[in-house]
Amino acid sequence: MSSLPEEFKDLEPFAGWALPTRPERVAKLNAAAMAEARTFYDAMLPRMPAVIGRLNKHELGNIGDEADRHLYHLALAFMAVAQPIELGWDQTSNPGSFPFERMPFKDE
Amino acid sequence: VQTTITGDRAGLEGPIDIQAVFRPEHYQREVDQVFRRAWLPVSRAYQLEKPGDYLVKEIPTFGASVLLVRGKDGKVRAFHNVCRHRGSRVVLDAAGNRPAFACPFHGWSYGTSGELLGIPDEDQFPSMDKSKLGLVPIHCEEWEKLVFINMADTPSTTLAQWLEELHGQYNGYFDRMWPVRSTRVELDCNWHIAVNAFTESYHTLYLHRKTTPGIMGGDNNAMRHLPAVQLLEKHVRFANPANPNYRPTPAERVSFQFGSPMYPSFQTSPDAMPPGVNFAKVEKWAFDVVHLFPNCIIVTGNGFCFELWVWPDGPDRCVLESVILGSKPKTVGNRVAQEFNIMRSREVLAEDLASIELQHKALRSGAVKQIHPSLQEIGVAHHYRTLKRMLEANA
Repeated sequence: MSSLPEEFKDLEPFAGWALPTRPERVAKLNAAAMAEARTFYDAMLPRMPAVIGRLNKHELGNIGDEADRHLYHLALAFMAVAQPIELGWDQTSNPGSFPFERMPFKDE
Repeated sequence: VQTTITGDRAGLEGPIDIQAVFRPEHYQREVDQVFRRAWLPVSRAYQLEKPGDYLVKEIPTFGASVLLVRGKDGKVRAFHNVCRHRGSRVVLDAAGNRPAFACPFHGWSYGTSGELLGIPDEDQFPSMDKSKLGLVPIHCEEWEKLVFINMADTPSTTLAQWLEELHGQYNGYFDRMWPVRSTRVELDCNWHIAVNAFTESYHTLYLHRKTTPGIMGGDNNAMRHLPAVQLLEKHVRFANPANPNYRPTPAERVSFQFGSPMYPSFQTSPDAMPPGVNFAKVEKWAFDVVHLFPNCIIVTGNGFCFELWVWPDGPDRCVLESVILGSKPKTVGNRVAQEFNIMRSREVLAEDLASIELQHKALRSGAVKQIHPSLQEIGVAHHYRTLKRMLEANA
């Protein structure tokens, strides 16, 4: 997994979360232990305003720079990880809920 | 909070006999006497902006493939996606833009108004009237960027009549909306059970306690009583109460700092909205739910909208389609913000879908003959009243 922009080197340990598609991000989340998800969440939350500030220099749908594209996918993964953390769950998926594979959420 | 219910409440009290809807002959009457007589919204018009834009909609209820296309005159039309020559499928892809449609079998081609344009080796059809062999049309009208079809040979009402007083009340509301994400799910569930899950909010207290705690109701309305329910002849809508003390979580705050607030945050400020949105002028309003009978539910909020379609596919199956609409993202930050809404609403919908499949299976055992909707679930009772009336009217 390649790296993030220099300014965000502190997030490099979490570069594995920078997955390009929603199914991949959700699968990674659901496979992660709560502690791993929380570590990622805690590192990302204070950095999100700066992350979005940097990403906003790009035109939507056209992030040419590879490192910034990773940063974008990392920000999207943060929004997935924020759900079990902020909802106070004790695991990274909701037991008994409808499986993601049967309900893919497509971007329009 | 007491619920203000307006409209005709005749026949909406008491339990509902539920087992009839699982009988194949009853199901067939629903298809023939309700679905084939109704104005059914089938798609948003976003993919149908320019002349030649088309999309193909598979509708399991009718076993039909419907071609929607915007003509050169700007009008959206609907056709059966079936060639008049030998009955083959004409358009095989899901959407695009074309000036004409050629059947892949022998190359008969049709224009965007459905007319038969060209026949290879036409001399070999000596006694055939080409002008009568356009694609088979389906009645089609647009309302607020929503495309409706009616499968009847001659619809018994106009779309405007069908929509009752909703018709004039949403002017421009959807113009500012943009599809954020969509999903299509095949469910082992009767279509009524699926629709009923979205036309009451009583279930949000318990079923969704782990995914949307605290967003509605609040200290003065702990049971989330609906401020207002409006019963129309066929349709129903109800206002939902926001919790004024709801505190957005940190990621939610970060998100909506960089994009317009969407569910589970509510903008209750009275933006300029058409009269149908927050129709009851509720303070501390979250959103309205509008049930367009028979099978479409539209959740209208300030800055966001959910749409759900439930397409029957036999008494024990349905296809559920859902779209979230929001502001069209202009920046990467707007897009990242919407991901919060997408991930949260996915978790909420996943609870609904798991629940209704279980409920269907449980009801199918036959152990329970009747269901007991509360006053807060009057939309459920209203659905079965409209069903009964339409079955009787079209018998």
